[in-house]
Amino acid sequence: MKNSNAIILLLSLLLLSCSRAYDVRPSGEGTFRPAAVFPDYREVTVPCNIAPLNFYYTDAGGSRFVTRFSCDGLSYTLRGRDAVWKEKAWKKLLEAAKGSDIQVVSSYRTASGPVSFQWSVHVSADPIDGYLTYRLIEPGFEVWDDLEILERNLENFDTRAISDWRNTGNKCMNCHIHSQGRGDLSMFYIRGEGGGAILNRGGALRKLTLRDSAMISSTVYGEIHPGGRWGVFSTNKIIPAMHSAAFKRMEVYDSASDLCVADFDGNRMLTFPAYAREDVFETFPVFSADGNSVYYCASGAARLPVGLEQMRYSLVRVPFDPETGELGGPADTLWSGPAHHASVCHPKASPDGRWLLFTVAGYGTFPINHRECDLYLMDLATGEAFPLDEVNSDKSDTYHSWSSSSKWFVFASKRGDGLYGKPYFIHVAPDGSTTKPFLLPQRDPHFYDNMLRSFNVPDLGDAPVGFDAVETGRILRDVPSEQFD
Amino acid sequence: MDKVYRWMLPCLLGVAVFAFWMWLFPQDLNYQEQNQLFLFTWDYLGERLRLPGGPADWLSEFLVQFFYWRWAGAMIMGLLAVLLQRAVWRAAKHAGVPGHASAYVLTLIPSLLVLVYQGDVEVLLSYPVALLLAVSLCPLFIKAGWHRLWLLPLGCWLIGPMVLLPLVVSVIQGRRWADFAMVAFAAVVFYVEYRLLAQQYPLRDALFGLNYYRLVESLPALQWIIPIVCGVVILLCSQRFSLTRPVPAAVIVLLLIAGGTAWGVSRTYDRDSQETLAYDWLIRNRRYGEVLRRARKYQPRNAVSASAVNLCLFLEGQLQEHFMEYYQCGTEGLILPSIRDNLSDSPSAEALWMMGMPNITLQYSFDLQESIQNGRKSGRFTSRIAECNIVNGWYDRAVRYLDILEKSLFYSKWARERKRMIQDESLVMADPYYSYIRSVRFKDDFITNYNALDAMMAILYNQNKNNFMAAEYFSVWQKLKSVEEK
Repeated sequence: MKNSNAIILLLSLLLLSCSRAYDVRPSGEGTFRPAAVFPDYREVTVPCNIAPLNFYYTDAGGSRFVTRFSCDGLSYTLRGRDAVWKEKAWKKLLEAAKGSDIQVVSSYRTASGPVSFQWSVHVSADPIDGYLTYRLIEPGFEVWDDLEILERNLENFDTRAISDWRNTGNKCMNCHIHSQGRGDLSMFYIRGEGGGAILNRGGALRKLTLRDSAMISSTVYGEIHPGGRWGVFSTNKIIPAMHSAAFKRMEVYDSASDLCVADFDGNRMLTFPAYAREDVFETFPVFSADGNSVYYCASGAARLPVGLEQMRYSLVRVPFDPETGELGGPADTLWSGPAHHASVCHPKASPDGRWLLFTVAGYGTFPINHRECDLYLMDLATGEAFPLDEVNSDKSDTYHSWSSSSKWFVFASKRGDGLYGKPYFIHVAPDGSTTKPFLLPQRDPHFYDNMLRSFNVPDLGDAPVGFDAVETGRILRDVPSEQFD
Repeated sequence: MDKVYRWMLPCLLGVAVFAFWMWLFPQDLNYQEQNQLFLFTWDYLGERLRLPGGPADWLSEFLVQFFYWRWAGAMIMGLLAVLLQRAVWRAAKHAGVPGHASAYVLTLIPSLLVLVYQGDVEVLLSYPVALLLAVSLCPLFIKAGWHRLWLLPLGCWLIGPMVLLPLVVSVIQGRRWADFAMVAFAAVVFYVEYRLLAQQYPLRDALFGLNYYRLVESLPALQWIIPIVCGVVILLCSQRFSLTRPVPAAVIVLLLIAGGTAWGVSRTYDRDSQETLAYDWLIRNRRYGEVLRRARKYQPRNAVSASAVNLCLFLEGQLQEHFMEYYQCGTEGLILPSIRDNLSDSPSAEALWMMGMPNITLQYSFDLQESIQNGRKSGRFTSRIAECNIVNGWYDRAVRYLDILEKSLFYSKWARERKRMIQDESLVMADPYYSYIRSVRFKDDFITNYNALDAMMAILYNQNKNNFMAAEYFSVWQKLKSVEEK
């Protein structure tokens, strides 16, 4: 017993030596690592300011992996199954390749002989907004734990929490959204006792209770007006429920929903009888790029949950007066849900006013749980809407956000295992053509294999938000919520 | 002091603590094991090591995985108690002159206080492990002098704020004014380590220890009382004092300590909670008859115990005839609604699984795991989540959970077998368990609702007349509902 310290130390060292390294996921046809490399960066278009595209080879039987990157006289060779870049070298290559292609030659050995293949990465001269916020959440049901909203610098791997469970007493928090990609204008919710909507205007935080007695619930979905004074929101009675059959999992639907407008300067809630009808459900309101209209989704009421599959939401546009905050006037149905036997969710206008990106699901308002849901792009100049075939997968593709330049967008896709949402980026050309989605690069290429949380509502910002999780915790604890009448 | 006495006391302590966990409260060991999932990965290690107190936390989680075997858990608890007692005595010897018999008896107090504290099942093993390491560091701190300048930050990283114990003991023992500067230095060390390693946590949490207690924003009184008592015992045992009749004094002290421990245990080990934990543990080990035997002697009056007993009644073929002989609390006592709790829904999830509702079982298991407040995973619930995915044919998702389990010690073989199984659909169908669940589960899709659970049971039975469980639960649900309505 005299040597108990030494014994404990020895034991610890022994245990340390027990730790095993990761092995590689099964790959090939019929698995969710069908490509030769993961993440699959072959033939993608990336912005000229993106972090290093680290990846690994999925062939478990391979050895002596060599990857050669070349562009414009520059050449780099990475050896090993994990192709992990030094940031300086990557930046140099990226700079050289701006507007052109990086040629890549992959080669390795297998039991049946050497394997070699070529591919390329196109480096777009259009930069993407430098910051991505997202909520990390287990794709659970009604109970949450360890929620956090993070901000990732897309030019490297720096990540920081802007709100987390540690500083909020494990409270539920909803996703963070920027207004037209602006880091200085954004908001998110912290739910529960002492919570509220956390509004960030120029880094100054306010905690708001966006509810008055006429509303059916507190505000849920919405967006901040580009001018910063107004917010348009839906109020929703949300019901989570399980499907009974094996081929479906969870359903979340509204049993009622209306629209309202918040005046952040006057601390007022504006409600409108036309958008508070019991026979029509309205949800997902967002502002147009010029702030003079609101897009939202609307469906006729049905008996729920029996009639849930009849809940098909249409895309509607209605005028908005930025002087008075009034919502109303002649409404345009831009895309009819019933006519297409489908339901529109999450419309998002590009900041240049050219495009409207939205999700189309079979029915309802919770596309992240609908594997059939796809992204559609509408040309607001012509009113033509088309599915993004290059982008969509056989799993849920939704929760999209525009870069402030309107040349990139990010969305969450459950492609692969169908359960965990991951952020993918797309380049949009002036003619509306899109590129193959690429996954948010990580320092550790095995990051997503070991990640048991979903990236929820990835949202792009052109600058870091001016607060962190500690500041959010302080606001939550010490600042009383501002009441809205 | 004679050798026999010196060794007899820790041996007695070890045996008593072993027996305590092995036969009196093995359910607590199960609870600890099922609320963490130790993984042999560098990531897992790295996650722990980057926090103050992380190494002690990692070591304790390594030990807790062995609680999967009840005897191993009891042995580890016994060994920790003995090591703590020995470490206290060793520290006392380094702090002063060797004491005599009655002083030696005092060294039992910290181990027994920890035992009392562990009546709160949310106390993590990191706490006694950190305490043991802290006491073990006392001799080093006493001798170290100015070497404490580097020992302190290292100790703070190893065991967290518990490192204050050896520091304070060494300062008091040294009785030099210059030593008190070390306390100010400790404050600086804490703040720097907080900024470097734990900035994402509130300062208060970091000061109280990030890994000592499962619930966030909680600081039970015993958490800070025990290290103080520990320090007092070390300093007291190091003092030379003479008693005219040391042996009777030691016996009296020993009796007082034993009595105090028994009183403390009776205060902290709540009977209802312990019985409920025991039912869950026994159900996990398929010892259904034993649940009924215990319930006949004493059954807590809560819905969790009722749902556990009703499940065991069905599995023992006694539900229809005998359910009214046990405590009932309406339909919630048959199947609980999903609530935010890492234990209550466990028997209900088991019943829903056996009855053929894998989707709702998935929800319950997920919610149970998500309710573990310190964000740990659970081998038990992760296994069930993987099984729900296998039964539903969602093999890609199942693989993710099986991959995780494969990196553990006790679930690895099970996970590898399941991974082999899902490579070949015929093997899944050949598995009697999974093929049965598939045969009785819902065939049509609809939105489920807890308030219509009886109707859902009826659907299950009408689909498959071999689903006796659905039929019996439906029947008992109706009876309980009519009692409720009256």
